Parts: sequence; structure tokens; C-alpha cells
Amino acid sequence: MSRLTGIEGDGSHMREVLNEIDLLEFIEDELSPAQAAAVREQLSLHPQVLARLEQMKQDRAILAAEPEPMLAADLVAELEPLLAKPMLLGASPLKQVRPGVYRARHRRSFARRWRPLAMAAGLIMTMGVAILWGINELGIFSTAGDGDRIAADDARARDEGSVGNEVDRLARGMDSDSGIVHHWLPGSGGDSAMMDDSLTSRDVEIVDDPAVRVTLRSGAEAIESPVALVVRGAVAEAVIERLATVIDEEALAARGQRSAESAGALVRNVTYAEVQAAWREMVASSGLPQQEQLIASMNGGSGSHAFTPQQRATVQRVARQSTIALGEHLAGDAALAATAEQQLRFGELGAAHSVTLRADEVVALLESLSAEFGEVIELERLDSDAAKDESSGDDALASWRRWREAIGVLQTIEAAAIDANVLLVLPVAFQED
Amino acid sequence: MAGSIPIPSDEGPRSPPGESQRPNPLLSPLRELELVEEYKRGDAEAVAILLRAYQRRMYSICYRMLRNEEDSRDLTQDSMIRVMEGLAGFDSRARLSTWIVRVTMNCCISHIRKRKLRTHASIDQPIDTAGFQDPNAEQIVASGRSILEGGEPGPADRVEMEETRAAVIRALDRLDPSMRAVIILRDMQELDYQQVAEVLEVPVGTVKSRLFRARAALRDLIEAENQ
Repeated sequence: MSRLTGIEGDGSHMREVLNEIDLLEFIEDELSPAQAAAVREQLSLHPQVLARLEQMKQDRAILAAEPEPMLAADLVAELEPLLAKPMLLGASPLKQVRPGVYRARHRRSFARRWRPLAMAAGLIMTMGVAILWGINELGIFSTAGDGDRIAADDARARDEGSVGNEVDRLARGMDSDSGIVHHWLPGSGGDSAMMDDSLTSRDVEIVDDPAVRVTLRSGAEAIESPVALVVRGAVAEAVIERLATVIDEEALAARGQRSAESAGALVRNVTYAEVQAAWREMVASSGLPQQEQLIASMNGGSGSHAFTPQQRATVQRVARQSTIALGEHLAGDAALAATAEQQLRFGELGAAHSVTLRADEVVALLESLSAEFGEVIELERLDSDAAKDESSGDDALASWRRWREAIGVLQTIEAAAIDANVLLVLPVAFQED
Repeated sequence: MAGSIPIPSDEGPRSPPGESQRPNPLLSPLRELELVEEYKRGDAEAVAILLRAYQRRMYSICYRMLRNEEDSRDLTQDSMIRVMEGLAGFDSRARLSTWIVRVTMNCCISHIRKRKLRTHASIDQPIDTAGFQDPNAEQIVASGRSILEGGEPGPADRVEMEETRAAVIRALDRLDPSMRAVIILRDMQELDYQQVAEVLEVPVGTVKSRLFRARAALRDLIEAENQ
């Protein structure tokens, strides 16, 4: 029997849960054919995981087949002075004279000599590209399709400060190359008021379809749940307390778990009203002229400003500094909490809180919540009215269907997140009866 | 001195056709230990034989970690000097090959960390694309063919194979150095788990766990690029 997989040579007595080492043995073809077949059978319930493992096998084969790099010179020969005088390898200061170090230093001095010329060439190139871009923007070379045109128009409109009359919703843009969905808060105050520079996509396509499923990556490894935890009735405080306990460090310690093993966070989502108030306060403290217009622009006014370059820089600085503060941090590590953009969007969809948990712990948590609070806990898609309609109804069967569907989604996430470090950001909504 | 160092003539493993370097010798473990002892007694030629036996392997590790020919050569030589410095204290408890790989890998990781620090101050470092425009195209295609175990691939298949291979290599280059190291040692240096554990100075279980996570991270990077 394989020590690590718990699988007999004929594939029997398979454990229910495969761990990292089982999967590694599968990838590295260290299992017998029967064991491998048993693993395949077990993973047949999770075809996407199986496909991923097969791709990892292929990656390994590609790397193993990679030819050795060519070494055209005898590097030992270049060390012969040192070989002839091995005493130089002792405490002598000559030890510092190493061929590699010398050549690297020589290259750096060469780079220093040519750097000004390279910078000048780069500047000229940049100016050329900028001029061409400007010509293109005037439509002389315009060949873009409708989608591109809309994206370009939107990007230009944002630059001109004329987009953002709808303060009650987030603008969403999908990077057509990477597929990553960006979010920003529209505003017409100056260049990019309230817009996070890091989220300003270079070339975006506006996605107005509310059914587009958002898979925004928050931080390094957190993925966003497409379903929300919906709590009905008057148990909000108890559920919040329970969630906080789950990720509270002291509570974890009491259960013998280190926080690193169960990293998470719980926040009350920031609201638009709070953002607007913060914006108003920042504008008031900025010393900028036309403050009323700026504030009005945040609230959907026309917002046509004529700033001097210095004033424009100030607006941008204020916008950068006004990065939306997190909502109320209730428990866990604030760095792992849902991003401000996520919080705003969740809030817009009716979820007042967000919880971040290890993906492989989410299902167990939900099941324990369900056991503790009963049928008031449900999972629902927040971003698809159509999906809600399909399984609408108040009867127990419809409720059960919604729950199974949502659990299925989470199990898919859990299965995909075979790396235990993957975190899931889950919106939490409370609904009064 | 150049003429005094013997250059054995037997061919090392997996030598690509047309390679112009001097062939590397294969030394038995016993012969290696003899050479170490001879070097400790002051015989400089002994260490030259040892280093020639390992120079291609050391260079291979450096190149795969750095993906830059010049830096790899420099770092190989730095590693050689560290080997020479350390041989006097080498106590034969570890296998010499494992120890040399460890010294080389440590040099690479240390270099990458320093380079990261320097990159913040300087952005004018040239990007070496040699790894993506490999002159051994025929060999790569042959490798791809053997991987896919198919018949004679057509031009479209060749392009696809090369793109797949390039994507994997690009992802490997973007991987965190410690993860990259474990994959290179296992897949490209063909070390077993125990040897990888000795090189990285971690338990075998940690190697397996780290290796699996490195493979997952590599796949993530490839998929992120494809999206």
C-alpha cells in the first residue's frame, strides 16, 4: 500500500480526501497504474482539478525535456591564476578579485556611460508614440470596432472628467487582455477623483451586464465568492459574533490553531454615504478652490473644472490620499479583508459585511452555521437576478435548491483551491423578515 | 598552468548536438573523494579536474535560475571559488555532488535577492531573451514531439509546442526563487526527493509539499498569462 495515498496496489481502500503529497505522486507518475486509476476515479467528481493535475504533469514533462544550456567556454581555465596560487583563497585581500565581480563591475560602468544617451533615445521614442497616439485619438487612423470605440470613448471621457454622473453604482471594466475586472468609483472631479490609480486600466471595455461574474483577485491569493452568505431574521448579531469568533486569534489559540493556519478577516462594508462624507471632508481640508463644484461632482454634478497644473496635482494627491478607507474592521487580519472596491460593491448588492476565510474552511464553516442557526442561513448569488429567478420561491424545496446550488459553487472553489493558502472573500447579507 | 590541467575526453550526459564546449568528465564518487584529498594536500590540478567535471552542471543551474548567459557564467565562477574555499572543510558526510549543487544554488538565490534590491534603484538592466529565442529550435521541437508522443508534427503543431514550452519557461522565470529552485532541482537536474532535501537543507516532507505548491504556482502563472 502506498504510504502516502492510502491506496492499495489494486486501487482499493482509497482515502476520501487526497492531500498534497498524494497529488504530487500522481503528477510525478509514482503511483501504480491501479492507484493512478483510483485517483482519477476519485477526481472524476472534480474534473477541473483532474485537468489541472494533468496540465501540471505536462509542465513537468516539458521542463524535463528542456535541453541543457550551452556552455561555450571552459570557465575553469579562467580561474587558473587562482588555481595556481590557492593561497589567494585564504585570508588575503586578493580574494576579493573575482572574475565575475570584475566583469559585472565593468558592465555597470559601461551602462553608466551610455545611460544618458539611452534615456534621451527613450524620451524621443516616448514623445513619438505620444504624438502618434494623439493623432489616433483625433480619429485619423481610427479603425477600432464598436467595442473598442466605446472603450476608448469612455477612457477619454474619464480623462476629461465628464464621466461619473452615476455615483450610486460602481463602474466596472474588464481588461480585454487579462480578463481581470477592474472597479473604480466614478467621479468627475478633476482627472480621476476618487479613482484608485492602481485600478485605472490602460485599455478597458465597460461591462454593464450585471450578470458578469466578477473574479477580481484581491491581494495576492484571495478569490471572491460568486455567492453571498444571506442571513434572514433577527440573528444578525449572533451570526456576526460567531463569524468573529471563528477568525479571532484568541479563539483560534483556544482551539489550538495558530492564526496562520486559519487566516481571515471580518469587516462591516464601507458604504457610499461614508465615502461621500470622506470626500467632502477631504475637499474641505484641501484648500482647493471651487469646492462646492468638487463636492457636487462627487454627487453627480456636471463638474467642469479649470484647474491650474498645481491645482490639478493637488486634486490628484487628494484623490490618492482619499483611497477609500476600509469599513469597520471587526476581527482577523485587516490586510486580508475585502478590498474597499469589493466592500462598496457588496454593499450595493445588499451585503453589509464581508468575511475572508481559507477556501478549504468555508464549507465546514457554513455547515456549522447552518447547524447552529438553522434555515435562516442561505447562500445566494448576489450578481445574477436571473439565477435568483430560476430558483425563486419560498417553499422548502426552492430553498434547498438554492442552498445546494450555492454549496456546489463553493465546493468548486474549494476543489480548485488545492493550495491551502488560497483565501475566499465572502459577502454577508442580513435580511429582516 | 593552462597546459598542465588534464582535460578528460569522455562525454557528459545529455549533451546537445553541436555544443562547442569541452566535454566534461564523469567521476566516480571514490575518485571524487581522492581528488578532494589531493586538493587538501595542495594539488591544484585536483580541484581543476573536479570543477571541470561539474562546471556544466553548475552553469546549467545558474542559467536556469537566472536565464542570463553572462550572469550565469559569472555566478558559476563565483560558485567554483566558493567550492574551492569550502573544499578544505568538506567532511565527506554529504555527497560531493549534492554539496556542490547546494553551494551553487545558494549562490544563485543570494544573487537573485541582491539583484532584486538593485532593481529598485536601476531599471536599465537589459532583459535577456535568449531563453525565448532558443537557437536549438530543432532540438526543442524534437523534445516537444517526444513529450506529446505523437507522429510527425505539422508546422502549426510545432508553433504550438514552442509556444507552450516558452510559456512554461516564462512562468518558471517569474516564479519565486525558492519555488523555482525546487522545480529546477527535481525536474531539470533530476535529483530525487532525498537529494533535493539535502541541497535545500529541509526535510523530505517539506520538499514534497514545497514541490507541489511550486507546481501549482507555476500552473497559476501559465494560466494567468493565457487569460
